[in-house]
Amino acid sequence: MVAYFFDLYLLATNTKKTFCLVTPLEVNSAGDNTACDQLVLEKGTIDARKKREDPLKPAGQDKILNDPEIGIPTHQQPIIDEETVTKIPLPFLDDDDHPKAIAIPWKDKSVLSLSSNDSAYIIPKYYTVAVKCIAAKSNSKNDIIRFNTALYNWLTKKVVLRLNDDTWYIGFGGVLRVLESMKVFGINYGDIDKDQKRDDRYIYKDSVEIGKHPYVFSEGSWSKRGQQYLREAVDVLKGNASGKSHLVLLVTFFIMIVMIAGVCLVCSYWSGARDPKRMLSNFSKR
Amino acid sequence: MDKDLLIARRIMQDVLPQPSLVDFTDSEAIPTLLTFIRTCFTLVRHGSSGVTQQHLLMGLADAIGGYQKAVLLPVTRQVYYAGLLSYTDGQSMHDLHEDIKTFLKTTGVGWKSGGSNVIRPQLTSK
Repeated sequence: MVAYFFDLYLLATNTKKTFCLVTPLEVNSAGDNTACDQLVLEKGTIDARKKREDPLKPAGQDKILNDPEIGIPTHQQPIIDEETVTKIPLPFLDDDDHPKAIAIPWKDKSVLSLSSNDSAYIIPKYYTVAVKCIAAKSNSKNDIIRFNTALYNWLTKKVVLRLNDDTWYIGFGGVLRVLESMKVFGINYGDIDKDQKRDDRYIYKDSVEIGKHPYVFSEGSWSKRGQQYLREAVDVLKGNASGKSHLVLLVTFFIMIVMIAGVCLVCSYWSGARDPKRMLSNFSKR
Repeated sequence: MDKDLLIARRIMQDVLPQPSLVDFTDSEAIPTLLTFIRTCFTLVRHGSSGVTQQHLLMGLADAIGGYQKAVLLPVTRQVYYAGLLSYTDGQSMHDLHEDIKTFLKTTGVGWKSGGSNVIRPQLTSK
C-alpha cells in the first residue's frame, strides 16, 4: 500500500521525463558541389512571375499592347514567364496508408525498402545532401526556404501521420530532427498547404499539446477506467479540488479502521470479562 | 498445473519497471532495458529446472511481451524517429519481441497495443 502510493507520488512529481527533446541536425550550410553529384537533378521550369513586383502581369505585356505598328513583339528580350532551373526531386512513398518503400533521388539505389537496414536515417541524409547542394548552386537563402517548405509539406502530409502506427518504419529514423532543423533554417509559412489530412502537432505550437496529466498515459494506452482512478489519485496527491471524491473515500477508509479497532476493543473486553482466569487475575489485582 | 502458470505470471508482473520512472530520453535507456530483460531470462533459466522452469519462463515471456507491446516498442519507435536511438538498438528490441512471440507460439494479438502516447517528442525552437 505504501509502495503503491509512493509510486503515485513519483508519478505526480515527475513530469518532464515524458518528453524527449529533439535536437536539430548540424548541417554545414557551406556549399558543396560533390553533394550535387549524389543526387539526380532534373531540369524544370518555375513561374518567374512570382519574382516580379507585379505578379499578375506577364513580362513585357505593356510594350506589346502599346506597339501599334506590328503585333509581333519588337523588343530584344523574349517574354519570359517561365525560368529554367535545376530542381531537386522530393522523395515519395509507394503507398500513403501502408508504405513499404521510399524513393529517394540518389544516383545509385534510389528505391529503398522502409523495413530494411539500408534505409536507416535516410531522410536526414537526404536533407543534409540537398541543403549542401542548394547552397552550392545559389547564394540566396530563399531557395533553401522554398525547398524546406516543399519538404515540410510532404513530411507532414505523408510521413508524420505514419509515426504513430504499430509498424516500425526504419526509413523514417530521425524525421523529427529534420523537421526541427527546417524550423532553424526557415520555412515560408504562407506557402504551407492548408489541408485537413496532416499532422501539425509537431510543428505549429511551441510545445506539443499535452493532456491534463501527461505522466498518466493518455487515451489508447491503458483502460479509461484505470486511467481515471490514477488521475483521481494524482489529484489527491497534488491537492487539486477535483480529487475530492477520492478524499471522501480515504476518510471513509479511516473511519472504518477506527470502527473496526473499536469493535476489536469491545470484543476483547467482553471475552476478557467472560474468561474466568482473567477475571480471577483482575480480582486478585484489586 | 494451470494454476502454477497463473501464479508464475503473477510473480513476473513485479519484474516490469514502472514506465514513467524510466528516463527514455537517455540514449542508454533502451540498451539497459534490453540487458535487464536478458538477465531476467538467464536468471530464470539457471535458477530452476524441469516443469517449474517451463512455467516460469512462459510467465516471464508473457509479461515481457505484453510490456513490450504496450510500452517499450512505441517508446523505442518514437525515440528512434526523434534521432536519439541507433538502428541496432531498435532492431534488437524488435528482434527480442519476435523471439518471445515465437517462444510463446503466438502472434501477439491479445496483448494491449500501446499507441503513441507513452512518450512524445517535443520540438525545441519555433
